[in-house]
Amino acid sequence: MHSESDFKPIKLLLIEDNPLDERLLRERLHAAPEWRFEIETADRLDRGLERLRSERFDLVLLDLSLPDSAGSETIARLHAEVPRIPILALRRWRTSALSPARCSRAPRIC
Amino acid sequence: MEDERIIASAVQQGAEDLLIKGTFKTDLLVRAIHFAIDRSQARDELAVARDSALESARLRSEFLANMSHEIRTPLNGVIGMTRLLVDTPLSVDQQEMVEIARSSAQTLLRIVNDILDFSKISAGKTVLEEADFDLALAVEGVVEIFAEQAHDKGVALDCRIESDVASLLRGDAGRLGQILTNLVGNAIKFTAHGKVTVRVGTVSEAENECVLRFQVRDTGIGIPLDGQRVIFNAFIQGEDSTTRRFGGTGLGLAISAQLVDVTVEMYRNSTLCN
Repeated sequence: MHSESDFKPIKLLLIEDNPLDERLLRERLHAAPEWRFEIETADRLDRGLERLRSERFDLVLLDLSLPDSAGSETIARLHAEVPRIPILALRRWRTSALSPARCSRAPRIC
Repeated sequence: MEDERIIASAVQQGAEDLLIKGTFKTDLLVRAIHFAIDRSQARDELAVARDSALESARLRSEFLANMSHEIRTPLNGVIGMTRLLVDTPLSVDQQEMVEIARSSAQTLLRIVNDILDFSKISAGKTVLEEADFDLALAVEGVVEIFAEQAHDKGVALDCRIESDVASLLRGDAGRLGQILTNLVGNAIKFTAHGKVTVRVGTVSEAENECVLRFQVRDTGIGIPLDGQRVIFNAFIQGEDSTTRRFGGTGLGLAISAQLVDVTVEMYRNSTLCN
């Protein structure tokens, strides 16, 4: 199904406010040998939605603890606004998906 | 467990999957991205296919209904005029010819009405009447229609309404009559000798409703087992050879089944036996 992906990069929108997580993800994706990813970042859900309305992306990587939305509700809001875009949710290890829990995100930031 | 619950909730809200940061490497991430895109694409394609299938079914129904209507209008002209023609001075030969033309037109009208009815019910445009009626009168009325035809074929036509069946009912007597007409008509059509029995019995009775069983039994050719599953489908008859031998559109039982589906509890228990 993705034969043309060899020529065309996969366009991803990463909605993530933590610069370290963003960097880690970019590094991981650029390490993929056979695929080219074009990654754009938005640091808040509303900014992400704005980007999705103005441009076509193949997939959204969605952090579940954003400054303006947290938990699975974030998914529901994005899905309601742009129902056809596939969403891959990202969550911090052992952090409740329902609370923003900003301080427990990463010891290296707090 | 906690994680599974959260993943389930994420998927329920519309995510393709949920990844926990720091636990995945490049290969898993890339795979998750591809699966997510593929799944969502497949879902889109399915939705498009479903929508276009529904739309074309709707258009076909509408076309059928429109065509039936268009055909019916001139056909009524033919029937009306031949009816007048019969009453004018004609030779015996001519009278016979006009009579054949009239009865052919009548048959054609019945088929067109069936198609119109079928497409109307398919489109969910049937409105059922609710009025008091006498069950015995309704059932006997149908049986009477076929009395002459049965007598001519030498087939006995018997009607029995059990004594415990409530006589005054509320519902759509016309639709009930239509279903019974289709069933009894079929029974007589496919029976060369022996008899056709119409029986009505009570299955259960409550204060405000009763469930009745309508049974049409015949000693005709019967329906092969694999045919029994499809006779209620539109345009299908019990056997392919049936159409050649007996004619018909294959719509009668489909309409009956549709009517039974949309009709009140009382009609829902009509059975076809043979």
